[in-house]
Amino acid sequence: MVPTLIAIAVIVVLIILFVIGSFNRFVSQKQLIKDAWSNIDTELRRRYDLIPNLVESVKGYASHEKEVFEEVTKARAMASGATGSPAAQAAAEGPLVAALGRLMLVAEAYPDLKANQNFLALQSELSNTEDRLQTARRFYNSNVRDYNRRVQSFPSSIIANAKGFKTEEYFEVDEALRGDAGVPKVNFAGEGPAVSFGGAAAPSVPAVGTSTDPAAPAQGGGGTPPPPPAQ
Amino acid sequence: MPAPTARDAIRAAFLERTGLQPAVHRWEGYGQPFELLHRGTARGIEHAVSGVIRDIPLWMFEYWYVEDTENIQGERPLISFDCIVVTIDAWCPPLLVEPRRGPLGTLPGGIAFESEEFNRTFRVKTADREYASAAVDARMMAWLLDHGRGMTFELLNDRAMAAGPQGGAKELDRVLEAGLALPGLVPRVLSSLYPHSGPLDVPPM
Repeated sequence: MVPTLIAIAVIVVLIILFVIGSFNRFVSQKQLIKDAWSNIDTELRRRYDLIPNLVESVKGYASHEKEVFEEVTKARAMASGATGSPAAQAAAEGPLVAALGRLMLVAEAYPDLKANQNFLALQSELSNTEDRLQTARRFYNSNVRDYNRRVQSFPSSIIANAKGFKTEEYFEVDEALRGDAGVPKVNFAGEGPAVSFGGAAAPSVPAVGTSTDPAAPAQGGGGTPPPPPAQ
Repeated sequence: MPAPTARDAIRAAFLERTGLQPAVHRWEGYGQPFELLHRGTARGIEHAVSGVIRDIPLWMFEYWYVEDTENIQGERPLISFDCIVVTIDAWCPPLLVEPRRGPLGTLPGGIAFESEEFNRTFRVKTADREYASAAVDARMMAWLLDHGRGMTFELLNDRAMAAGPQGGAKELDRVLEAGLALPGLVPRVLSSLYPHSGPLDVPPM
């Protein structure tokens, strides 16, 4: 009798520990998702702040492209005003990304603009912001994926249902709006896309010892070895 | 003097083909605490070479260690790698990408990414998941799946290392190609999130 009671007590304690552990993990995962979303929000705000200056820079050289400027301004207003779920935010971001792509294509047609230092700085900052946004988005989505997996998997789903933890939305900007709409595969700098909203292909790496490569050392020597250690 | 081995011949042909030079100083990984270089009960670095290929300064060496756990035959296997170290324009926390299937079986854990195939093929270890998301982006994952299977990669400070199981000339070329690809593969965002605080260091040789 006593061993049975002990066994039951152990099982009950284990179940209680599982419930507490699982609940606490859900709480920390929710917090992580919230933090990750705030990173996305920071980068989105940074992008919204850059856009008016970028539009003004392009306007100085291509003032007749009113339609594009209006489109960008309108899309920015809609995106920055979007509130609520990640899906709603993503839906508002799509047109902005597409409009920005068209703005960059306009800019590409003006060599003087491409040489403008102010424009180049803004473009570089936008590119940097896009990279950070992509990173923040991936981190947010990875947290959502882990959390949703637990919400839907047994036995943690029991705790999720009992405590009202629901699946969270991913933040995905419509890829269709990025591609053909012409979003930013603009390259003014020379190496690598200056502005890139989509995935990039893996770099091609020429074969070892390619004789046409001026940087490659000649057969049998050539490469300057680094200096000895300063130890 | 011992007779030249097949490995010596591979090594000599490689140096002739690439123009790399034997390193004057032994490369012991000083100040380079790559996780791979601290494994096992015994370890060693040999045949360090250096040079510049395609404008990329690089350091290559052979590395071996004795596993500290026994395999099912009760042996501690000796694992040998060809390694390449290059510099990158960022100051990165430690990050390890290694084959999911290790010498002693499938490795558990690691950070999960959106590609199940990638998760099955590689294990990624780092203390900060946000950093992992930045460092191992979709492009890096695609490249690793296409070109990096069976190889180990590490990021640390301003260095990146690729290591492949020691084999013939083909395997050595593969390690070199992987190392040369790394500076272009490391996401640009790392330079912004983990900026380098000064001019790139030159690794000790």
